[in-house]
Amino acid sequence: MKLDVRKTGGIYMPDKILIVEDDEINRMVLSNIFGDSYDIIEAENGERGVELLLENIPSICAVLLDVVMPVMDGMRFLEEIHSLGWNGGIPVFLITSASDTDVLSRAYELGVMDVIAKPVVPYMVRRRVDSVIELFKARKRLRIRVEEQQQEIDAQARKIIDLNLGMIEALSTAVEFRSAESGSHVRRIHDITKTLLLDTELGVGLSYETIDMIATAAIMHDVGKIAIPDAILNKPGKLTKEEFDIMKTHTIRGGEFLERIPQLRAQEAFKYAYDIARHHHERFDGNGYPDGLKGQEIPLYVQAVSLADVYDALVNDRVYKKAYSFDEAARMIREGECGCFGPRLLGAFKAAEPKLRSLYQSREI
Amino acid sequence: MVDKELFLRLEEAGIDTNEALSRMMGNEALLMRILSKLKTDKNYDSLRESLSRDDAKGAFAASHTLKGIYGNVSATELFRLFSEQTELLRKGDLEGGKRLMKDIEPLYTKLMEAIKWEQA
Repeated sequence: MKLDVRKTGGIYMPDKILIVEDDEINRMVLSNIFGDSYDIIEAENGERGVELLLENIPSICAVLLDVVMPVMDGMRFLEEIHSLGWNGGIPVFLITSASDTDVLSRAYELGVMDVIAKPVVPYMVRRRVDSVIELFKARKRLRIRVEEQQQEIDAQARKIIDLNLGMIEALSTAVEFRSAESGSHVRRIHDITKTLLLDTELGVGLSYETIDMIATAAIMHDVGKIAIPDAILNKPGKLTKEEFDIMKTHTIRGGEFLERIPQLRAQEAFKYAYDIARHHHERFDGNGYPDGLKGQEIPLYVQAVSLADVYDALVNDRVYKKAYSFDEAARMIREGECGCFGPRLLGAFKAAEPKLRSLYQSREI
Repeated sequence: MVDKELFLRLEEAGIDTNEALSRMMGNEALLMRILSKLKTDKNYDSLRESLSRDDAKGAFAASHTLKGIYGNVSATELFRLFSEQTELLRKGDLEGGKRLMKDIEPLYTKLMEAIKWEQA
């Protein structure tokens, strides 16, 4: 295919007119009218016209079509290009002396842009064809501009999302920092939660975007710890009952804190973030805190974050204990020694455990 | 620059030279080229032959083409006659078509005379 096009404002614009007309003198007349502004290609019947059209599609901006021609006439040409997928993207002008209204109405049905009478009056045919070509060019420029802008918008949206994520991570890491946890704890909670939802049946019915949102919300599960005094937060030994009661409030505090951020309330992810912050210490048997939610009352995504939190605590050193092995940690969770999870979560954990283990092994803890 | 005398002859032969020239966008050379092509055009013979064989379809096709040609060069009266003839022949009216040849023939001959001088 010859790509013989001219640039107009950075966009390739077609600049050829295809004349499909059996009478040589008519072709000469039309070619003369348009030859100063366009390249002209000529076909002496509909069949040749179809060939030339197909060969030159990207560079043709209009077709001037006669009706009465041997081999393949104008109407059959229209039907042929129609069946080949033409839907008016290149304007076709009927140049005809035919006054038969049936023919004309069929032509319009087939998508002809305009019907111009023969013998032609130059300024009229020129104006009518030029106007349409100009219209199509303007449409094309507009369509391209809209696509460009859409890309620009997408890029901007992406930047904003990244910024938000950065802020959320920063906030959560700052909170974790107080309890001398490494900042990668929040990362791991995010990754484990995401793996549990993405790679097991837990995530069935959730879109990728939603899973992504939940994993992001999981990062903020412990923001409430910001309200817990250092002495309690970093006590190496066992907490007294009073100390533990205060520690437990980090769930409620977390939810309250998130509610106070107006921009967060407006986000779709808020609901997930709030639930996760407030309920990630509930237990399947109802003995958790702060609300003692039981069984199905605890949303699955919250259970997933709870499990992520427990798993991460087990396989890492903490102020109050040393790290367990992956096998030991898995056993403790399975047998309910640490945390209390429902059968669906345990099933999902079993399925995802190898992948979770490898998440740790592939990076420094 | 084509001489005025030639244009006068063409006018007398029934050609509206102003209109023809404007259709050619003022391109005199193009008009002359097209007029020369008329000399070698076979459609008139084809028309006469089809009519004599009572071939309405063949006559229609020739008449239709001639209408286009003489419309383009603004041979006003010939264009009108061929238009009328085309419609009659389209409906299969051979007699009507033949009758019009009485008016067409002299005009055609005169026009052929007027363009006989053409070199190229």
